Amino acid sequence: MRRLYLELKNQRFYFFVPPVVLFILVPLTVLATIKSGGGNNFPECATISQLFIPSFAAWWPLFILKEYLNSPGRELLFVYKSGRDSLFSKMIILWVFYLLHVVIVFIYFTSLFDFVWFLFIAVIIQSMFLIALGYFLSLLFQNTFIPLIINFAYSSIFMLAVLDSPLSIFENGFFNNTGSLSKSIVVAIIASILFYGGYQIEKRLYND
Amino acid sequence: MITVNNLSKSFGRKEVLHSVNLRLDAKVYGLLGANGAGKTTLIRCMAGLYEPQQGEVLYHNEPIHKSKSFHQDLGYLPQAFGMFRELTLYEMMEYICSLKGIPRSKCTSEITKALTSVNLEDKAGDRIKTLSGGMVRRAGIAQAILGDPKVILLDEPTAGLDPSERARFKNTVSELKQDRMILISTHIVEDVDACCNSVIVIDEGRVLFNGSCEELRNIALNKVYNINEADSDRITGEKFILKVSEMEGKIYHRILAKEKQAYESEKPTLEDGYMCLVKGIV
Repeated sequence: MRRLYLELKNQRFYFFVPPVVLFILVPLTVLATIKSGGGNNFPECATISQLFIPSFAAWWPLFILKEYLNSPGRELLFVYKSGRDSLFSKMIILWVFYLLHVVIVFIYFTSLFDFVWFLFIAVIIQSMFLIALGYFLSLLFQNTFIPLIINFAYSSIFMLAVLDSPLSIFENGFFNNTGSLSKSIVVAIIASILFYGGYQIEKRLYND
Repeated sequence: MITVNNLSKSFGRKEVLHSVNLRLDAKVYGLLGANGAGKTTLIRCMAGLYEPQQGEVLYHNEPIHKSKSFHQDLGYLPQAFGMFRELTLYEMMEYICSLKGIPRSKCTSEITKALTSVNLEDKAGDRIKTLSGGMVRRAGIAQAILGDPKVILLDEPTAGLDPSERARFKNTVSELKQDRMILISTHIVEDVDACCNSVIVIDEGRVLFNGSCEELRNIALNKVYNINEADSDRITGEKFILKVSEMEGKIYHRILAKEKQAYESEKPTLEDGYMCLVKGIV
């Protein structure tokens, strides 16, 4: 955990981007949507949450992967194996860490809406998918810039333009029953496959 | 300690190492070779970073990828070093301590010892990105010697160091060399002469020489001549001009000649021996 703390500290100002999005941008945008519309704005707020929250989930993982893939002397991270964690385990820990931040946002949402926990589950699974995609693509391309661009392009295109596409991990609606999570199950399965694929590349590349 | 058996490594169609065989004991070895000779590839194979196409690297007679102690006993300085640029030097060292599995209780003393030996103890609180190129190189050396490793592989450790830093590096190696194997890859012959007991010369992926510094010097015995420019054409047989210098207004050539000449030969240096080998004047 000390190494993960130092890896996050090494991100310096970039570390604060996800908390700023989660704790300032998302609540303010949701509040503005509620103020501007009459009646129940939950579907709009769900769209805002799905647009901002999952797309920044891969931020910390990609910046950590950058050190492993692009920094001068990165081979040291693979030579000193005795205490090294796998990148896969780092991805899972970072997803859990991000999830804890998202919980705080949703605790705030409970004061605004009745049903938020189905949306919460959908959002954390979407976050897991985008972390898995970033992990897989970074190891595949040996680069973190392309996955970062793909991450934001995917989120923007499918959230803002083609939400109902079968290729979209996002969903419209009220998220008020278990039926609204049917897509999330498929997304979770694809995320697991991406994690598995990434882990296989990691093992092959770094002789674990 | 470390045995390299019949090691070959290719990248695509290009074979970089050709059946390399070495046995390295608790001594300081200099790995000499021109750029592109295969020094870094050999060191990376020895550190377990590259999987060879053929052959193996053994640590205490056990393949390194199966050896539990190898990665704990290893100190490695890569050719390029400069990761975690936003961390302080101390934090970067702390990270490496953790990677090497050094207990946290020992970290502070180990870091202080390593930073003192490279004269960076007063820079512990500075961010890596604020250090000069030479300081980053010294930080790289410090991380390699953290935790008292038994095997130290240094890939061009003196590149970018000024003369006083190089002198300090040589002292550090002298202090460290007891009971451990240190392999220093370089193309600076002078560094090998100053701090190594043995030399390995590699050229186009093949080991040309593996022996003591004295043995390498002796290869150039009776082959080195320092003669006036005007007499240079009188040298018979295969020759190679090592150096052109000026003394009291006259131009002199330091020449390696395959055949015995009519002039008095010079006492050979390590560089003369090395050049004899790579130029085929043996």
